[in-house]
Amino acid sequence: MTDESEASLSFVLDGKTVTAHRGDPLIKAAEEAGTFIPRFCYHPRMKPVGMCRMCLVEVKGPRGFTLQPACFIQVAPDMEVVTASEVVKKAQDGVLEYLLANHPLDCPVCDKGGECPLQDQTLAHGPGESRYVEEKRHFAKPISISDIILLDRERCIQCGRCTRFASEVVGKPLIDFAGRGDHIEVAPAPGSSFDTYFSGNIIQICPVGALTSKSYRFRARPWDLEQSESTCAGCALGCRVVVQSSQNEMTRLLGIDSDAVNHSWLCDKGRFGFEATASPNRVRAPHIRKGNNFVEVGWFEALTKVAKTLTAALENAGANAVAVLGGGTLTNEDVFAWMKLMKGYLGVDSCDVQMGNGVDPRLILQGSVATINEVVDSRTVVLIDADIEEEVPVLFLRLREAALAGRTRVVEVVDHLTSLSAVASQTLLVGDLDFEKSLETLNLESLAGVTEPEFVGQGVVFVVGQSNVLRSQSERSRAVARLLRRYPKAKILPVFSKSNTMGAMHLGMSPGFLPGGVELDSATSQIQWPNLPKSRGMSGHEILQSAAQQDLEVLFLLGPDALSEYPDRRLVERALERSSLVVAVDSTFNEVTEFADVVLPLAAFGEYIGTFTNIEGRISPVGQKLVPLGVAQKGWEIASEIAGSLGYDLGFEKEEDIWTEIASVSPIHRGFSPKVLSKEFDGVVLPIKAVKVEISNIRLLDPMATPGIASVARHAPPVEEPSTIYEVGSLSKDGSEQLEQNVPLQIEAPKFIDELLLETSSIEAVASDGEDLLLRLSLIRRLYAKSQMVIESPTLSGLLPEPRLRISPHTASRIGISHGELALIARGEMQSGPIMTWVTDSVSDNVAVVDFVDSFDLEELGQLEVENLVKVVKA
Amino acid sequence: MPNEVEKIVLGRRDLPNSHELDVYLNSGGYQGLRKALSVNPEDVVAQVVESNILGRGGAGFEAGRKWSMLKKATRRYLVVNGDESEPATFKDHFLIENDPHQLVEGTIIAAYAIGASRAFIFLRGEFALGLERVQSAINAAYRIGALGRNIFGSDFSLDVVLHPGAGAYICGEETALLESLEGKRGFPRIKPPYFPAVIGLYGEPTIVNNVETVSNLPWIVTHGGSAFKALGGGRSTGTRIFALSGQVRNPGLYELEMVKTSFRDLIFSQELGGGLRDGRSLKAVIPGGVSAPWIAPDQIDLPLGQDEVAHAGSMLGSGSIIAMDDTTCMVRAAWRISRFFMRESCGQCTPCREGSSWIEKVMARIEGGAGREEDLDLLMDLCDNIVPGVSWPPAQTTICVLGPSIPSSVAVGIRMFRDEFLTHIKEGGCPFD
Amino acid sequence: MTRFESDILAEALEIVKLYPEPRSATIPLCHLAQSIDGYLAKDAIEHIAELTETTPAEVYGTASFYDMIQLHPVGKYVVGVCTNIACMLQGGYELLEEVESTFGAAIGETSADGLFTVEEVECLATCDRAPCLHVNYRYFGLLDSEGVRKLKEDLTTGKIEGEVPNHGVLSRVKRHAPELISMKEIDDLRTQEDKLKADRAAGKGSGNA
Repeated sequence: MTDESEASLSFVLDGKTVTAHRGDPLIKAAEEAGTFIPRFCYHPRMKPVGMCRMCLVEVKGPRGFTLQPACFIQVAPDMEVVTASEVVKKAQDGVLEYLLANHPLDCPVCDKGGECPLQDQTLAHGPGESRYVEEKRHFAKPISISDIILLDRERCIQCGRCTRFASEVVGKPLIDFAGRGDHIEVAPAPGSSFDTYFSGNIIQICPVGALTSKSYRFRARPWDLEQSESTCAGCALGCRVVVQSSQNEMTRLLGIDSDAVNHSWLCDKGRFGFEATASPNRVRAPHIRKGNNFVEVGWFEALTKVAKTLTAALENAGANAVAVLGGGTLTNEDVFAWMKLMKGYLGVDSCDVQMGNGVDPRLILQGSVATINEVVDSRTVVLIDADIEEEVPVLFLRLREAALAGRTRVVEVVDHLTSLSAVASQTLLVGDLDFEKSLETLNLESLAGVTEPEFVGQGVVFVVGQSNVLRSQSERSRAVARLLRRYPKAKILPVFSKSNTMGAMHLGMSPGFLPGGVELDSATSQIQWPNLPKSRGMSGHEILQSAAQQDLEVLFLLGPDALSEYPDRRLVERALERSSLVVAVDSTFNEVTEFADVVLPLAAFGEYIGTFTNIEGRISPVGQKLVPLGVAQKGWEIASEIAGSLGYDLGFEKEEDIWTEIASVSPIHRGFSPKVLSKEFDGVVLPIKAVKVEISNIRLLDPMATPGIASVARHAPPVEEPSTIYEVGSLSKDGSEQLEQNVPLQIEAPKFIDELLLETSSIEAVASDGEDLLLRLSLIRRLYAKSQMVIESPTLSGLLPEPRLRISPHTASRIGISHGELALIARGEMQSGPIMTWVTDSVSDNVAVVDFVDSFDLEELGQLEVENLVKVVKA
Repeated sequence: MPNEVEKIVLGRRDLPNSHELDVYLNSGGYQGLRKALSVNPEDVVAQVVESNILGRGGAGFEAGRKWSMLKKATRRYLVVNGDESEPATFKDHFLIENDPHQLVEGTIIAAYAIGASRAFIFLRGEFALGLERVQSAINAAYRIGALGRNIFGSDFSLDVVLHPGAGAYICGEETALLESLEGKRGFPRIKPPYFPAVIGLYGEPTIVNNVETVSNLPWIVTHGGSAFKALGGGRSTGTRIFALSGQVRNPGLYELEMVKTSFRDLIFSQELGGGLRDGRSLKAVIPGGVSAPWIAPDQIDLPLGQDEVAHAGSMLGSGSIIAMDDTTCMVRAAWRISRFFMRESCGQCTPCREGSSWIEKVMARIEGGAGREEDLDLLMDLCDNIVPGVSWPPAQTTICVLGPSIPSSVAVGIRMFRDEFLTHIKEGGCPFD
Repeated sequence: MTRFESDILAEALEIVKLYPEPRSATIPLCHLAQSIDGYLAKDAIEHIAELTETTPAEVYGTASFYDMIQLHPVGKYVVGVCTNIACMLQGGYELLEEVESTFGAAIGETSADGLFTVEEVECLATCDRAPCLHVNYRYFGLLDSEGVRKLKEDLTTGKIEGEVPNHGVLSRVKRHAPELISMKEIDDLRTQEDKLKADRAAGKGSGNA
């Protein structure tokens, strides 16, 4: 039992005794007691610095009342604080007047105008006119501090939020204050720029218009913006965002301060990736290949063609001749409709949201998945093949903070040193070892300082990443299963690259599974669909191989994952060329649609409403701000249309219809309805254990911390009868979710782990190729890879990195190649194009680590059941 | 009779080559350290407490008391503050260049007393010759066994590192100095909680002592704290170096018993300042560096004692005294001082960064002839925004005490010489040009 | 300069070793870089960042805070004239004008022959010889126009070459001392001493009781 007095205290605020959390800064304690103290430099997610002096209040000390910065001092028992005296008002007015003295009067053309903390506080407290008649400070107008960001130094009020964000939150102080006195300015080093994946956050937290994005500059006025709450589609972390639009055009994404997920931060891919929706390469209408050309057609013609070929294929070759690949960016609603069509009406089970290099669905559907907050609060986090800054960037920020604060011990098992290695307790480089074997050397007992003889992994989370796209699903999953057998109480957090891979897996988009993690052969299924698959279908990897062998008649591609997620371009190209009918359901023309026979136009991010499920199983709303382009349709509508042309009725008129059915058939989603989202701004984690009963129509946000979003109206459908809101599970006293603390300790590993381990390793060894040095190749994910979101967004498309080949100094000397030289990667008769060599200690000997920016045109390279050994030669 | 009676820190002033080791050793050098090492560190602390020597940097806090406030920790540091930059203060500069061994010896004694893990001597970067001489003195100390392992055969081991500054007045402020020593911008830290004795260099408890304070230690240890205390008067014990400048006949350094001498003595005594040049009359005195409010000619009988000056509404500060005669334009003097603070404000906190610059611009306008009558109220209000109530001792809205130093000359200048300000405004220019 | 090399690099590494944390070496290393180039070049910033385990932005941020660190090329001699109160009272501004015209460079500029960069500086702590100035941080006081003319002549003809050093105030500062006692060893020593001290205090206490 926690003693209440340990956690809280009381103090005197303007004559009234109020309570506060021990350890909180006074500014926060006062705010929670209902007194807002003005501020500029204070940001609730960063350490206070007390620089702007706007939050001066009178605090009683040994020498009577003195002015103290409320952000910097901690509230103490019986502290006497005065926030409304003449002295305080004079001091605050003085600071405000000083800040305005040199601030330019360009509010009418400033992007921040209308949502500017300086403007707002001037309006609230400021003087009517300026007494400053001197010449204002001048700097050359906006300078570029990165590819994305402009800095207007005249507007800067030197609050240090941006510089602190860079050093404290990201750990990359690539900007700092320069100069002294009233010529102090924010600056990168001469000749360098603020290059991080998180640069956009400094625009969002700037309390004035000093930092602007090149793409948003002068685009919109805050008061013209409409906004709705949504979930970022940039990766699978599910950062909470606000999507703002003006005249059927999205203008920007801002991060919401969600305690559970992103603490208001976003990565630049997420923040700027929405621009892809406005790409000129969007598919506006259905297209059909006629000869060598795509011809725009009506929906009817396109659907008829699909239906005809599909019917023939099913009749002639059976359900195994039809397959569905991708779908990781579709909403839950879309996925369910597609699965109902495929698995419920057509008997097709060969549907896979993964490409053979992911994780076994059983680990996700039957294992114990940790929440993000559990990860950052856990005693030990083991990152397995996870380079989270490249894969789920904001999780990197959260875990880095936890590691630096000493809350969490981070252990890595990776192919190369990552940006977390600096704060990790231990980093095991896989090297040229077998992945499973390298994990066996992991000794969590000694790392965690555990003395219990039977340590079963309480407080341990395995973050299962997919940094190396050449690592097969079976290799990765077996390795994790082996660990879970040793540490059965450990939880896992899978890392996916697509925003809704988790949701798709929950809803049956894996061979052998029906929605809700129900196995195909399970007797307990409540699914009453007319034509369930007769047997287990093919996995993503098998689908491609089957197609390459001309065994596939119809292949549906839900998005361009086949090329963006799969390393072996040759196999994919062969598979697509040899399928009788390739139907691409996509929002932009891309490398994959080049191979399609039919392209069906899909609504893009911002054009659909729905939900995503993030890697922790959190289901959260995706907002619609635009009408779909041309005649594009939402994913579930397309499924319904195809069903209709085949003579079936999926029974869905609107998103809510889909949810009614999901909740009735999926054990994972039991208890969920969109109404639940109207109570839980941050979504709910599946399976639902408890729901808070507190109801608010508006999510209030701190406009000083995140200028631009003061509040967000509830996104979900209106709640007619608050009292009937769904409630499951038990609630703790304070209304928070009850974690499953009282579940009896389960030491036995779940059954699926043994099943997984029974499957023998399928990796074939490759015979040594004479005297040549063979290196084990890793293709590692980069945040800016050739995905649609990156290449179709003007802000991001220029940021694609040139891939590098990383080898150790020892390996380099054995090969006879130097840092900066061009190399070729060879395998059998094939070789890659030239690639820059980077000699570094961040990789082991005898491995070649290459950035996965684009799929590789190299024979058999991605054939995941073959050892990926290559030769490296000087170009 | 006001005279330089007893020389403690300036004892070698008249010795040729006083910066050389043999001269130092032949004039009692390193006897203090030897004596200190023969007793326990606590006994050294006790002598310094007994002496009641007030810190010579400007704030005037009892050095012994400061030492005893050092938080217990395995690692603790001594940092000697030789960043002398207060305008018209040039005593440390002299001690650094001319008696570097005394400084090094005092540093080792202080380090021994507080058990410092390592000592740093932070010298103002502009003191190029001083840096050369102090480094030579440190090298010599290692050579004779006064530094390194087992100093003079004792169990005490210490390294002293000389650290150059790079030109920033604010680094004389002890927390800014520590930031600077850590390789950062000289932004002062917020007290509480960043009192150096609790959270100092690299987050460890740290004592920061001024060069003159430390240079007194060999004498105090050799002669005992009570001998020091016997000099001076009241809380201001011992002698102190006063740096006299301005329009006097004999500007220079004078080591005087505290309290026993008055401003009048210092400025006008023939043995000391020798009076004003060309028979001019005194217009005002800046008593303790430009951070101190000015005092009027009718106040110069004040004794040179810390509390005595404080009670009169100013401060003895760094012990530098500027005498200004009747040819001085007080608007120009106040403007130049405000310009100094504008140039030296670190820029961290708003009232100082913006206030110092705004005040300087208004002052420049008045001196240049473009002043308006309302500017005087504006100036007072701008001062009020930095020092609420423009009171003494000052309250402050800023992080450090540079802020409250800004109004000293401007507000006091307006109060003392309002007519002169008004003449500038009415005549549209400086009447002294 | 590209980066620190050979002897200078060895000196730089020695400087880094003087501090428990490498970042403390930032300013000394900036001085060292200036002793070669007269100013802090971009490559030097990058090398200093590597040596001090910081980023170039942090080195630049620190360096730009301090008046003595030059961010642009300067003349062979930097002449800094004090105009602060004590010098002003004795003609500091008149001296500054004299220096500007005699040396052929306005404040912040370098003379056409590349010899002199003129700066207006704050108090040099040489107030008993006001008005004063420094040349590469060697001080000259009680200057009138004749003094300034003579100073320029001495500098131009190389007469006081030995007296006025090159750039970088550390150019003549060399530490000759054994390697520093490691912080670890010192920690152990201090722990022992503190224990002794505590025992002594306890002994005293019990003696009194």
